[in-house]
Amino acid sequence: MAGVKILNYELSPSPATIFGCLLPAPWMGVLTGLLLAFGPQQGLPDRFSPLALALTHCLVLGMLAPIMVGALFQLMPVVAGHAVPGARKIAPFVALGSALIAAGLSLGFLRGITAGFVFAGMLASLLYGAVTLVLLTAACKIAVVDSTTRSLRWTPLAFLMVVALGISLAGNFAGWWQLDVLYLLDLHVAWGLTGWIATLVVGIASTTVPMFWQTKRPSAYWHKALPGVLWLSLLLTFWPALQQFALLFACLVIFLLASIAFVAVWRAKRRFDPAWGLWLVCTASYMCAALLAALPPLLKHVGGFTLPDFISQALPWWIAVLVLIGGAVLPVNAMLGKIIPFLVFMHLRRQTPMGQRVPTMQTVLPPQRLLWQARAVLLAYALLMLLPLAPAWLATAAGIAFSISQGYLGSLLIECLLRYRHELKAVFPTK
Amino acid sequence: MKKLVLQHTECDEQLNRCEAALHKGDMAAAQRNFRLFSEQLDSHFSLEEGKLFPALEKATGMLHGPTVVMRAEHAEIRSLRDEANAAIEAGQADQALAVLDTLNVLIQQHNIKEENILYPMCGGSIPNLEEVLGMGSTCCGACSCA
Repeated sequence: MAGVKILNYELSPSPATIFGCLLPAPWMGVLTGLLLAFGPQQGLPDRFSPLALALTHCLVLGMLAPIMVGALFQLMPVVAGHAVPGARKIAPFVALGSALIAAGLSLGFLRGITAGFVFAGMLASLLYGAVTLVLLTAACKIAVVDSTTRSLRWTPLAFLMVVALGISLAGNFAGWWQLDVLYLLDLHVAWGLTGWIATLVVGIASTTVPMFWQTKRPSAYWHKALPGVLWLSLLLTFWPALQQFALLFACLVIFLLASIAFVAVWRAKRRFDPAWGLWLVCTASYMCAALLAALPPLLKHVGGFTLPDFISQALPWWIAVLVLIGGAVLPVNAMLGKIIPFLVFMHLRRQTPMGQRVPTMQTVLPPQRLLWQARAVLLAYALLMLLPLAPAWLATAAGIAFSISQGYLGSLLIECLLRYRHELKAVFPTK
Repeated sequence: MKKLVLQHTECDEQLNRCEAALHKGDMAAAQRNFRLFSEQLDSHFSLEEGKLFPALEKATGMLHGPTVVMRAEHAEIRSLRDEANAAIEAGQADQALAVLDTLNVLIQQHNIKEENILYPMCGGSIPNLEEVLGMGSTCCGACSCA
């Protein structure tokens, strides 16, 4: 009993450790949007077009990976009671290193420069190897009490899997070895989208959405099932003969979980919060993504029905946008708009003598501004979904809209940081 | 323990009613609902600080453990509650909503800690817990039936 640790913000790493991972991320979102707007658009919306591949890695590695790693550095000590060893030393390199890896891969995809893959593969081995090592060290000590702590315990393994598969593919393109690219690609995508992104989003959301938006708390069944039920289908993907079955099973599970989450978010008590709509769209996105991903294999089984060419070509783009933007960028935007002001409030509260006022979360980040940011990112999302209709000019419009939405978020977060420093100086003039 | 969790829910609902009134600009209803929330919060904290925490400390011997953290958070919540009360009494709806937004988050994260960690600890460590809390067949004095 003496070893039991209560959830405690006293255990959280220094603001610099977390902010260093989180604050640069929206700016990589800006660059990703600009790349879409002004990059070589030939081949869009094909999933294997050079720009689509470069965009995916800029978004996932440049923007989402530092946020998710930063979130783990924060949540492992606060939620699970185990600090990540070396987080303070590694954190400064996470955002920059991830951006460089994304840049290397983008050069490889867009210009066919092999050195880009070599550079990305080597840097990813070093950086993500170190990140995985420290995360696993903390994760193996976590006592599981609910789906959040279970997700925190297991997601570093999924991260390791995605990174290992990614490095294997980069090595293949760099000419280091020859592997079955399509088989590895399927695994890389499945583990990346479901094992890493969806697992972490649902794991963190299970605690934070009821807390910030006052939805009904997830049931005991939900906590027991996650993330195991998501990973079950992933384990099946290793057997090529079972991949279709694994896909359908994953789609069914994701659709059911997303439907439950949709109802919970729909009934949230704090629907007036600016970011509430982002969560609602996020859950609906996972439902739609699951339906669309299940469509081709289902139709194939039902009398060999085939989809029209336009739909078949656009389907992978829509699924990717639904999961990466709807299922990852939207919740990440919603969380950043809450977590950063909350962390600022908590750190100021802990450093300010009791009885002395500290600025509220809404003073740190006014809700009106968050509402405009939410509207901007939803507009960009809509344009991205419409892109297959007119790729040539919608790519430019969607890219610019996405850049503006993320640039606005980035500037709001910098304002939060400046406010934090300002308030801290008022309390401790010598700091 | 279910009754303590129910008190959390009752406080949440009362705070929601107050926020709804503020959104409508009905300051009289906001004041009334906030007063009720404040009373429920005080009763709940008194029960925890006066009975539950000492019983846990006695049963486990942990004098510098979770109860210290929970007491500190109670102080933070009370401080923000007083700030919200001042704004509501002064008729400053926007300021009150801003404070209530943070107060709500502070309370929610505190409740999650209690319900996921502290209450299960109490349930497993304190013999005759219902009696200790005065939550047998008679009313505890902190719930909504009082």
